[in-house]
Amino acid sequence: MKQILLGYLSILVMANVQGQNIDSVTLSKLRLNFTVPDMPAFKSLNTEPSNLLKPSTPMAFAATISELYQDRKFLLPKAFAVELSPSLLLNANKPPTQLKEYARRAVANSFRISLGTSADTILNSSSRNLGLGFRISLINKGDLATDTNAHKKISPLLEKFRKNVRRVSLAKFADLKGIDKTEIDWEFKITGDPVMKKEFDEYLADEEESSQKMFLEDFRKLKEEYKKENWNATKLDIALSFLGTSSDSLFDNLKFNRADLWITWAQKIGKKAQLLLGLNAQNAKNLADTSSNASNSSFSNISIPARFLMGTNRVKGFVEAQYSYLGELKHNKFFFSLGAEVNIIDGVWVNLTGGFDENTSLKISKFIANFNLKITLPENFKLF
Amino acid sequence: MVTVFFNPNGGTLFANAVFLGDMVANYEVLLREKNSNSETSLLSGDNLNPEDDVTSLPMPPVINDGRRVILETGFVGNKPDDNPNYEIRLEIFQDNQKLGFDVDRGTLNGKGQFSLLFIKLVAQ
Repeated sequence: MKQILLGYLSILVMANVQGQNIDSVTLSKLRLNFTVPDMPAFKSLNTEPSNLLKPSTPMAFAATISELYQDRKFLLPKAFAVELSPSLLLNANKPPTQLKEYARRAVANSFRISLGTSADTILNSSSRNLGLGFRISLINKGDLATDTNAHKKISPLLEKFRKNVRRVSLAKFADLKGIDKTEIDWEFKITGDPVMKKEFDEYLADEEESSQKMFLEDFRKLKEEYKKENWNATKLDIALSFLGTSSDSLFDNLKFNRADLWITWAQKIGKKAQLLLGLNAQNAKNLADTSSNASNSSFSNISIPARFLMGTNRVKGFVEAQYSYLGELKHNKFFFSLGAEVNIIDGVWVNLTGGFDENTSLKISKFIANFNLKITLPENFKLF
Repeated sequence: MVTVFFNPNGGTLFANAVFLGDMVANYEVLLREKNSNSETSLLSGDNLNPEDDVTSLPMPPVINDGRRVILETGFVGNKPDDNPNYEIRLEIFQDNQKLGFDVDRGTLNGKGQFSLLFIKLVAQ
């Protein structure tokens, strides 16, 4: 099983290395790898004992693999989910507009769709769950892409960059092309000629080019500082998911299993801590009960989780408490856990959780340990 | 090079910079002397404040005959994967009329990018 884990990590490391070698279309340089958000579709698969849906900065793409380790054993992943931002596809051909318009649309553009699947034995040994989730971030402080105060810090870097390009890069490129710099408006021979301009844009996009190198280095420092200050920023997310269960892996005869609603508030506390308060309401059917009464009835569950995190963006520990009411059995449950979240390499996060799940109605408690791998595109990943 | 004809006996000439796209842009508007690469800065700033990025050219207008207005911009895309397109325009106005413009359209790549637009002013 260690080989499987190493395999996952190798893919990510390769994506990192390839991403740094290939130029052309890049994914956002303002994308910051704050922790990978919990995905509604993944949460609905019941892969984690906590019902807290952690809010985070919207990402174009993220994936989660679950249950690599549980009950003291490494396992083949039982569950997998991906989350995509539709704005990635919808905005590609839109004409550009004023900067303030993008900030105004930030809430609508935070809408994301997730799809997850997991193995289950609820109907038979080969049954599978399919989850479809929707999420929107109503409050999302700490997003560099829409933070005007942070943009004001980028502007001086760009001033330094454009002056350096004019003074050094453009002159070097002119020398390469044999352009006489004593001629009137010699720069226009480069920027006014479509073929020459394309060549110059490519020359400037090289991360080893002196002006570009200086800018990206300054920019990286600014982003690191921003992450330090904003990993625990205030946020409010609302999400919805629908879970279906099928008796086979082709998802024939998909039956409604459960609908979930999440509301999570993240409150910044100082520079090194954050409090997450959540609500999870479920409407579910008991698919294991095949009696005719059960097929038409549904029941409600509710959970109120709270998590206190402390640390930095890359390494943080947390303590969590959760109360749940299970409507079908009228049981009360409490879940207490300690955990850690570590960003081992760019784009890969490891979540470790250990805690007690206690059913106070049945007076049963059990220890639960959980190890998840969460993946998103590395900050420097390039699509092509 | 785009040439803009203006009325030497008309009102003040204005140069207006327009930045469209999900990007942070820092710019400078320069005026280059006739038949020379000698230039003076008219305005510098960024696209982050609500005010228009506009500056007046020296008076009387006729002294601008043969000069070139240059817009130099350094910019970086905020979310080039989500919002990839940009447009930078340099416009010349006189007596509330747009006399002409030059434009640079392209794709944001998430790195530092550079644009240089030229407009030649000719008295008519």
